[in-house]
Amino acid sequence: MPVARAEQAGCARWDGMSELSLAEALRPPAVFCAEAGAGGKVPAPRRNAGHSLGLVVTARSAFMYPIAKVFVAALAQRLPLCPGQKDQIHIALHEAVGNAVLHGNLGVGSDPFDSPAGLAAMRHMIDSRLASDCLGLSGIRLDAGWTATFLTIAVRDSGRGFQPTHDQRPSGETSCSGRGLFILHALCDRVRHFASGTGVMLAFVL
Amino acid sequence: MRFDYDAGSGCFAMTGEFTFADHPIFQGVLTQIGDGRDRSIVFDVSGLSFIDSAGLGMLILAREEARKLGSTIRLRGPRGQVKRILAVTKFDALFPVEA
Repeated sequence: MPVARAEQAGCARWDGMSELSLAEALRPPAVFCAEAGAGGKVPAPRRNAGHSLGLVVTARSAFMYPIAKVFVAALAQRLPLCPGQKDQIHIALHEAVGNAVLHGNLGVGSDPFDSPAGLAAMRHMIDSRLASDCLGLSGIRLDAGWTATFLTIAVRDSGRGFQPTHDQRPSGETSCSGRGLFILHALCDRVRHFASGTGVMLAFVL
Repeated sequence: MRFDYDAGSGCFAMTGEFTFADHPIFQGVLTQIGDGRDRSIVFDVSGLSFIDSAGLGMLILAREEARKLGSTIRLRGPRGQVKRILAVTKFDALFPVEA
């Protein structure tokens, strides 16, 4: 089996090799899963049993694989989510994880890429930072907890944090970037930034 | 994301998931747009199953590059999550959208 399943009940390790192996590692009864080699300032998820699921992955894997999609599919194995809710949570979590990787762990600024050259330069910066083990292996942590009527997912990064503004709209309607936070606020029932901006809590009424 | 370009009709047929990781592929779309002037370009997004904020940003970038050359871009056939995110972000007011 490609995944090193937990020697301890509820704990799993992901080999970082594929989307399928991550789905396998997150299969119930896993309560938390950590990618081998993930480091940085992000501590391991809480290992409380019950209605929770935690995951720690590297920035490199969070950029390479559809972590949010697999994580939400794993949640759907544990609590009833209708297709519309799955889409809603998937989109919001994808944006939160993307922000955590790019603006958190990799420290990429939020300046808009407003030209093909700017797009290429941003991509070059991302690739070079992901290639560094210091940043590429830094951790991203997801913690989900739920009740019958409420789901929260906290996303924590290993970056320096940021100061969220009250106005989360794009800087202009034709701006090429800056829509991630706007989408979060549009799709979540509540969004809360914490830990000096290195964490964001997404809440959904089920 | 993958795309097939039909130069005759000016249609880019996009399939898969269009996310930040698709920057390199999208450079190919920008190159094709830059090869002509005063054209009516279609992004057929009916084959896209997912798009994120970075993908939306790249659509805007393509629109601006086309505008500089006197060309226009319209979106065709958004479905599911793509249709939903276009509505949430009011992209349907930025691009002509065909069913």
